[in-house]
Parts: sequence; C-alpha cells; structure tokens
Amino acid sequence: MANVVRLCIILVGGWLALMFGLSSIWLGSVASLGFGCLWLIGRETRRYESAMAGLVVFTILAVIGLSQNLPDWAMLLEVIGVLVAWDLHLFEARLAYTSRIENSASLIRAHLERLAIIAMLSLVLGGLGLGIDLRLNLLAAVGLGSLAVLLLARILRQNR
Amino acid sequence: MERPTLPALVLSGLLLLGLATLNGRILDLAIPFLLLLGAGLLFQPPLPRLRATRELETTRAAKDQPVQVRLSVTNDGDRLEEVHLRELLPSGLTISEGASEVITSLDAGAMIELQYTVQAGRGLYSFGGVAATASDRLGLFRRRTILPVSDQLFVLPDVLKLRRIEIRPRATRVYSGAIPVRQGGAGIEFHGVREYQPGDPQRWINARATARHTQSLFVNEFEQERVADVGLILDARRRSDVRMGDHSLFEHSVTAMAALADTFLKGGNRVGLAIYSDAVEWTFPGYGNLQRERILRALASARTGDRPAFEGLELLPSRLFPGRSQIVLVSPLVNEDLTALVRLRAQGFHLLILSPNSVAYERSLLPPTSDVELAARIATVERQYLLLRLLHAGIQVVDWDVSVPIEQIARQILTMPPARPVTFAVGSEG
Repeated sequence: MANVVRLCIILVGGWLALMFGLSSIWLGSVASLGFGCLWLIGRETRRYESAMAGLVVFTILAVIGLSQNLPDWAMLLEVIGVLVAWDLHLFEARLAYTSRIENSASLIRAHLERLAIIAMLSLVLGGLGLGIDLRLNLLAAVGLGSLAVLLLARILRQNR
Repeated sequence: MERPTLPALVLSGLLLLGLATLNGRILDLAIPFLLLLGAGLLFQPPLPRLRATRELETTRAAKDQPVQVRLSVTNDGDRLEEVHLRELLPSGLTISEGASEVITSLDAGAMIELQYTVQAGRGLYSFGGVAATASDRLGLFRRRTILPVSDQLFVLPDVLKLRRIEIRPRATRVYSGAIPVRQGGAGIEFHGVREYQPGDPQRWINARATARHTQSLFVNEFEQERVADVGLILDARRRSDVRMGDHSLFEHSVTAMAALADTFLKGGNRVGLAIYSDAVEWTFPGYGNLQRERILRALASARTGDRPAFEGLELLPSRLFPGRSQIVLVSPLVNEDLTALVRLRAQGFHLLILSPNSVAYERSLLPPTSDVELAARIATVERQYLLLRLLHAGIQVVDWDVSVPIEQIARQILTMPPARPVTFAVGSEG
C-alpha cells in the first residue's frame, strides 16, 4: 500500500513537471517537483495534512497549466491522479492508525476497485467533456453555480 | 476537516472559476470530483445498529496486574461495508497486548470479538462505551454512534502487611478485641490480684498471694481487651502533596492508609475512612472483609483536589466519628493545620498522625545543589517546629520519611504502646 501511495505522488508531481517542461515553463516544472517532494516528505513523516495540501496545490497547478495552454487531456489526467493519490494517502493513514484490520486484503481490494471505477469513469466522462462544445448563457451559468453551492451545502450539512 | 469537505470545496471552486471565466476546460477538471462525491452520496452507509457486550477478567486488580478484556460486537442492522470499532478507554489504562479497535466489514447478524489486555496504576477506571463509525468503501461519508456498554475496573492500592498497631483510645466498644483498656477482666496481660469470687476459673488462682492469706483465695486479674472505633482520615489536598512527574507523595499516603486500614480491621475494630479532597468522601464505619473491600475501593479512586474551601483542615468531619474514639490521620501536614488538629484533640479524640515527610521527599527528587540543601534545611526546621507543637498538644505524631518502608516504621514505632502523653519519631532524613 505504501509503495502505491508513493508511486501515485511521484507520478502526480512528475507528470505535471513533464508537461510544464515540454512547454518550457520551467518555473511550473520546478514548482511541481518541489510540491511533489514536499507531499512525499509529509507522507514519510506521517503528516497527513500534506495530502490535503497536495490536493489543493496540484489542482491549482493544473488550472494554471490550462491557462498556460498545456494539453487539456494531460491536465485532466493530472487531476484524476491527484484525486487518487489524495484518497489513497488518507486511506493508508486510516489503516496505519488502527491497530487491527480484519480482512485487510479484501478491504484494500474493495477500496481500490471502487476508486478505479471512479477514475475510469472520470477519464471517460472527462474525455467526452473535452470533445463537447457547450455554449452557456447567463441563466445556465447561474444555474450551474447554484448547483455547486447547493452540493457544497449538502455535503457540509451531512458532515456536521 | 471531514473528508468530503475538501473535494467539495475544490469542486465548487472549479465550477465557480469555470463559470466566471466561461472556460469549459476548467469545468471539465471538476468531473472527477463530482463523480467521487456523487459515488459517496450514492453509497452512503446506514446508521450502524450494533450491540456490544464486554467481559472483564476481573473487576478488581492489583497495580500493574494484567487484566484481559473481551469485547463482542454484534450487527443487528444491515450489512456494513466498513466499520471502525473503537473502545473508549479511560485515560490511565495502557494496552499491553491485543487491540482495542478494529476496522472490518460486518454482515447482518455477524459478530466480531476484540480481545486485549490492560494494565494500570491505582485508580477507578470506567469504560465509556464503544465508538462505532460506519463508512462507505471510499471512506467519504460516515455515520457514527456510541454503543453504551459500561464497566468499572478497580485497581486497588498495594496492601502491605503490618504487625499489630498499638492504639489507646479513650473509649472502646463492648466487644472483646485487641486493645487493652486498663480494666480488670478476661484478657492476656496481667493486670492485678483480687479476692476470689464465685465463678472465677480455678486456673486464675494466684498460689503465692493465697499462701500469704490463709483465710481467703486470691486470683489473678487480666487486662480487658476490646475493639475500638477507628476513624481514618486521608489528606488528599493538592497543596499538601508533592508531585514531580510520575512521583507523588500522595501515593505513599494511600499505600500507608491501605496498610493501616487492613491492620485495624484485622484487629476486629470498627473502621471508617474519610478522604479529605475536593469534598469529604466518607466510607461509613464497619467491620471485617466487606469493610476492607469498601475502604480499598475508596482508596483506589482517591484523587487529590484543590477546592479553596478545603484548603485547611477546619472542615474535618469530627462528628462522623464517635466521641473519644481513635482517629488516625495520614497527612504530610502544612503549617496552617495546627489549629484544626489541636481543636480535634481538645474534643477528646485520641489522635495519631502518620505524616509522610514532604521536605525529605521533595529534596530526594531535586538535584543536590546548595540552594536546595539550604531550602530543605529551612523547611525541615519549620516542619519540626510544627510537629513539636502538635506533640505538645498531646497528639501522637510519626514523622515518616517515605524512603523508609512503612512496615519498618510500623514495626519500630507503631507497635509500641504510645508513650504518655505522646510518641514522636523522626525518620532517617527528618
């Protein structure tokens, strides 16, 4: 499990650094590698807040990458990778902090299966989304924005 | 921060940014977050309906004795994909073997068992229940409940065996016991000689005295021995305690009190206990093994307290004890205690104070610098002055340096009949 998490973080940092590097945006490459290293160090020192910081920072870097005209599909892959790394990192933490895991193999397998399904669906739907050219008017934009706010409110209420 | 909050915030941020900039590519990045949260909402766990039972190997244990705990949790509700069960252990208990928490999946009607071993220092430990947290496979959304299952574990203080402690209270009870009462009658110790009276056993006849008086018989008389009321008072004021790290003078007081209670009860006396802490915790007087257990349990849960009203000993509950009975106080003493103790003595109680030497104890825990030595000398003089004043008030005081075992103090000092009017002994460092 530990190696999988490490690999995910390295891939997340390395992939973004490579994409920035291919576009000769060296600052972006350095930042990606730097934040990737920080996330790895955080993981090794059992600072699980580093997963949350990693999720936010690499999503922001992906958005910056989009604004710098990096390929859309590469940034979509990056965001999916970040989400997977974040999830696995926290899952690993949860297991590490519990002294006894019953049927750990099946527990891990079930978690990975569901995560893999979400990642694949994200890839498919995201890929489809990239090919769709949707024109939004103000009303649709406001509607979508309201939906986002409602979703957030629902989730926050759920966790209260 | 709860787990789904962050992806929800990122999702909202991406959606708002995408809409604000009218950039569909940014909206596209929100899809993975949307799917993750959607899956979490779709596969939310049911509220766990679990039943827990706990079995303790014993409910009373000695200090650091391993106690095995067995916890069984049965699922009375729907299948739980992932559930985290965690014992809410009281602080102070340490797990020496096994695990007190588990992550597992539980089918409907299934049961899981946790076995672990705990150890602890003196105290009363109340198990608070079991926290059960059910979550979906991705661990995003959780339902939490506490399963009520309460148990108590008493870790009793060590009870050291002491030889008989000599006390001479002014009043005793009518039952025969071990305390000489300076009255003739049935007993062991020789008391005097008197004229024979019908009913006296023949073996009591004093041949020498009878030979000198040919007209009448004389018999030996023995000193009556009876049981007494003994009121034990444990000083649990934080101001009189010395605590440094894991070391506490109060623990020595508790150990001494347990030994004294055991000894007095074995002597057939009626013993009560008052713990003078945030309040007066009173164990009603009684006899025998049951009372011993009550007192040990009270001592197990004894804690120091620092309520301002109980800073001095003025609130000592003298009315709880029968008049002119024996009172045994275990206290390191502070200067302000003098008046209250003298008043107690004036009320007619026979007062024995076993005073753990706080100055010597604190000095043993500090580095031996010249400042510490000087301070210790000053404090020792003050303490000895206080003890002398108690002594002059007719109070029996035993100054106990806790580096000397209580058994040794008891053997050397407490087994001797109290001198008139008092006994005053100083420990090796005193």
